[in-house]
Order: sequence, then structure tokens, then C-alpha cells
Amino acid sequence: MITASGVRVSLGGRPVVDGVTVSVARGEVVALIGPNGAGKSTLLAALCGDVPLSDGSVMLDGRVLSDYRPIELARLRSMLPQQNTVTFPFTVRQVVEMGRAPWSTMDGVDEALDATEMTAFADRPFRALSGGEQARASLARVLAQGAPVLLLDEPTAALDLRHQELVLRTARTRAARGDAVVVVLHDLGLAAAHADRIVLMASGRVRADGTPAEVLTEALLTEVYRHDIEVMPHPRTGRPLVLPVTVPSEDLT
Amino acid sequence: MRLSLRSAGSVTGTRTAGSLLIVGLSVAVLVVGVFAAGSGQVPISPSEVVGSILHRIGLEAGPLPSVAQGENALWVVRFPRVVLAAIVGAALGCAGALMQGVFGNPLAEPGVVGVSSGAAVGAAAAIVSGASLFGPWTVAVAAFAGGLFTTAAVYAMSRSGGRTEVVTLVLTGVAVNATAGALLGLLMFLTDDDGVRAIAFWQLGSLASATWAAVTVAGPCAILGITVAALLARKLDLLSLGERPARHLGVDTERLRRTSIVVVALLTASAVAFTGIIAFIGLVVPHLVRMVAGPGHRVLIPASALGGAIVVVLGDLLARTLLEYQELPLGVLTAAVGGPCFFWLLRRTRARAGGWG
Repeated sequence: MITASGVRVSLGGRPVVDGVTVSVARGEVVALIGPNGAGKSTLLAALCGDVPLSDGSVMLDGRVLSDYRPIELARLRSMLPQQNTVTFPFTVRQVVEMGRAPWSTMDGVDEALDATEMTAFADRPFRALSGGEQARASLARVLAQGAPVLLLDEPTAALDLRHQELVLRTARTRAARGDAVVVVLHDLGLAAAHADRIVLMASGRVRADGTPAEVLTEALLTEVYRHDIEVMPHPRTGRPLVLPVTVPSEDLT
Repeated sequence: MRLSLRSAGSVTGTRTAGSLLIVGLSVAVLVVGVFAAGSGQVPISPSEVVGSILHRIGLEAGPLPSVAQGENALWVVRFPRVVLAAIVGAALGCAGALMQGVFGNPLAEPGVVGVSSGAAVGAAAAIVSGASLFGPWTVAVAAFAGGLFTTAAVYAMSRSGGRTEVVTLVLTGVAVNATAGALLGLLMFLTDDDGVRAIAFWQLGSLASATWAAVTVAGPCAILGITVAALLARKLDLLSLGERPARHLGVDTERLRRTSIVVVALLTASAVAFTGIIAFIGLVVPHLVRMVAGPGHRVLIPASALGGAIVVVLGDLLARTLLEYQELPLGVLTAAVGGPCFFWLLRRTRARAGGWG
């Protein structure tokens, strides 16, 4: 559905994404992981068409991204940024309805409010909500857009445990309906539990690309995150459990 | 099912409130206009004002003004003045709403991009140089040209890499306003006493020199500007999500910004050119509308235009009737009322919504 080939993005003369090739198919949830500054968000912005590429190309549904008109692109891909602000006191429902701007109907607005558990907040002003509620309302806007490609930049960062699970379950539901989902995650446990495929980035390049079991190995994670990491199979599901090795407090002095 | 029914109701409710506000404001513009046209040193009753209008358009209905020179007072002095006041108010109110939407900042106003000060420099230059290229229209044309030129210059300077940073745009506007203020001071220093008086009067803002000729120039500009602004309403809503999210939803944000700035320049310069600087209309009116009808631009843009018309018609009425045989400068009056009103709006909005706007 969406493919980046040899993508290079430079910010301030420094290559932030350096020759990345990834592909995301319909029906797939792909988690983008890696340490701070690895280039995850910039790669997501490149997939979205937000940043100029200094090399390589992004293809969406068989066409180069830059060939699309803004409105065509809006019907094919949606994007949840890390920061979500709304300038004027629009209500949550009005914000979610803005997600339908590329279309002429309000289909999916109630469903999106439901999926993010924001129905009860629909008539509240967006800016009066807590950070996590704002994040969910913004996600509802992106879900309502109904595009077959969903790009989510750290959608779980401000959320409590229940809503982290809820968001990733929603992402999987969308993938099960045939959408392609790319999600930037910091929580490797969430990535292991929900992603079909994991792309591990470091220093602007792809270090590993495969199933959670293939990518989440002790040796690789310990090297990339520069911290001792233990990986063990979950006793019930068998999916990898990723645990950072902690130093006992008496050793801190 | 219950949920979708309830929500459908709430959406319809909001839309009805918006339509009601627009209908109510339209009626209020007409009522205030008739009342203002009847008030002055020669009082004419509202029914006589309406009767006079009906007779002009060929309907033999209603009484004609009974006082001596009543018909003349209406058609030569009062009507052009009231109509121009409504046009100028509508243009300024709409320009304010549009500007705030584009800047994503409820404190932005047309003056910020330098239209007002640019227009002031243009007009002052025409007054000082005594140029008469366009006959009696020279000052107005110069003001218009100055306003448009300044806005274009601010926009060109604040663009970098094909994009416009809002902060840069606002700061460039501040710098341009300072420069224009210096030029204006210099022009006043260079000219004679008559010139200083003319510039000062013009800077204070007044509708005293309103004519039908001014109406025929300002009217079409205002109607064109307000129409285009109303067509941009939905896109302006999306812009409140930020520039990138608006683009993700299919808005060509650069084009939207460019169009909006030309429209703001057109509206403000055409209003300011005939009346001088009338402050705070573009700032206070959209705020009031937002408090009543919410931030959606589909209601905000037309309601701000109508609200602006009401405020300027009433303001001008006060300016010419408050003191007998004397006229207060309208700009002074609107600033005196608008300034404290704005302070109050700030406090109230901050307390209620936990932030600006």
C-alpha cells in the first residue's frame, strides 16, 4: 500500500533518515521503534509527504506521493501528529467532524468517538480536556477520516494503560478491515503484543525489519538502546516480553 | 442508535442557533440603520425614513419626511453616511475574523499585518505632496495602494522556503508598523499646519466626509471580500488544527493563506481609505460572536460582518450626536469603548476556557 525506497531526509544539513526502504501492506500493523533521535518521526513524516526527500521516493497505492493533489492524499492517508493543538474553543465533536473534511458525509464520526471512548466528552471544548483525553479526541479525528493508510506518531504516549491497549486494539481492528497502519511506539511491550511487524531504527537507518520474535532479541536491543535488556517469552501467549535490566538501588551509590 | 440520534440533535441545534444569530443580526442592521438615519440635528421619525426609501424605489407607501429639507438631509447627508458606516463596519469585522482564523491567534487583527499603517502612510503622502492624479479620490486611492503594498511586503518578507511561519509574520508586521509610524511622523513634520490637521483628522477616523461616490467604491470591495471570506470558512476551521493537520485533511494551506491575506488587505484598505483608522472593530466583534455562536467560521464570518456593521453605525451615531454642534472622532470613540471592552474579554475568556480565545 505504501512503500519508501531509499528515502533520505536531511534536516539542517544532517541526514536524519538515511537510505530507508520499508513497505507496509494492507491489513498490517507495523510498529516503528528505536531510541530517541533514530529518525522514526521523520520517516513517518516522509511517508506522509510532510518533508522534502533529498533522495529516494515514497509510493502510495502505486503512485509517487508528490503526484497526488492534497485532497486525493487526504482520502488515502491520515496522520496523527505527536502534538495536537486546537486554536479556538471547538468541541470534541466538531474536531472529530473536521476529520471528515475530505468527504461529504459525517459517516464514522460516532464510531470513532466510540472507539476512543470519547462519546461522553463529545460536547466538551477540546482545550478543556486533559492531555490524554486530547490525544484520544485527536485519534478519533484521524479514525473518522477513514483513510486506508493510518500513520500514528506515538499515539499511546499520554495514555493510561487501559487506553494504550484500546488504541492498539483499534489499530488492529482497522488493519483487520484491510487498512495499513504504521505506528511509532516507545513501549516495546506494546509493540511486541500488537504489531504484525516491527521496524527497528537507529541513527536514521533500519537496523531490523521482521516479526516481533525476529526483531526483539536481547543482543540487538541491548546494542541499539545501549542498555542491558532481557527478552523472555510470555508464559501464556509466547510473545516476547521486553524488560530493561534495572540496577538495585544499593548499587546506585 | 440512541447516541447517533442525540448527536444529530445537537448538531442541528448548533446550526439553528447560528442561522438565528445571522437572521437576528440582519434585522438589527436594518433597524439600527433606519434609527441612525432618522437621528441628528433634523430629527426624522423611523416611519418617515422608511416612507422616504419606499417612495424612492417607486412604492407610494408610508409618510414622507415632514420637516423642511428632511428629504435632502436623508439622501444627501445621512443615507450615504449610514450606508458607508455599515460597509466599513462589515469589512472590518469580517477582516478581523478572517485574520484571526489565518493566524490561528484570536488576538490577531488587520492592523497586525500593516494594512492600517500602510494605508495611513499612503494617504498622508498624498495629503502632504498635494498630488491630484485622481482628483478628489487621490487620498483614498493612495491609502488603498499603501495598504495593499504594505501587506504584500510583509507577506513576502515573512515567507521562507515556500512557507510562512506565523510568528515571523506577526513580528514582521510589528516592524512594518513601527516603520510606517516613523514615516507618518516624518510626513507630519514636513507638512504645514493644514496638512497636519488633515492627517490627524484622518488618523482619528471619521465618517464625516461620506458620499455616495465613496459608497460605490467601498461597497463592491466589501461585498467581494466578504463573499470570498465566507467561501473559505470550512478551510479556516481546519486551519485551527494547525498547518500540517489541515494539509493532511486536503487543504492547500499556502494558497489559503495567500488568498486570505489579499482579502484582508482588500477589506481593511477599502474601509480605512474613506474613513481613516477605526480601531478595535476587527478585534472585539469576532470575539463577541465566538462567545455567542462558537468558533465555527461558517457562522463567525457573516456574523462578524453584520456585527461590525451594527457597531460602526451605532458608533458613528454616537460620534455625531453625543455633543451638540460638534463631532467626536469615531476612531477615538471606538478605541475608548473597545479598549476596556477588550481587557474585559481577555479576562473573561482566560478564566472560562483556560486560555486565549
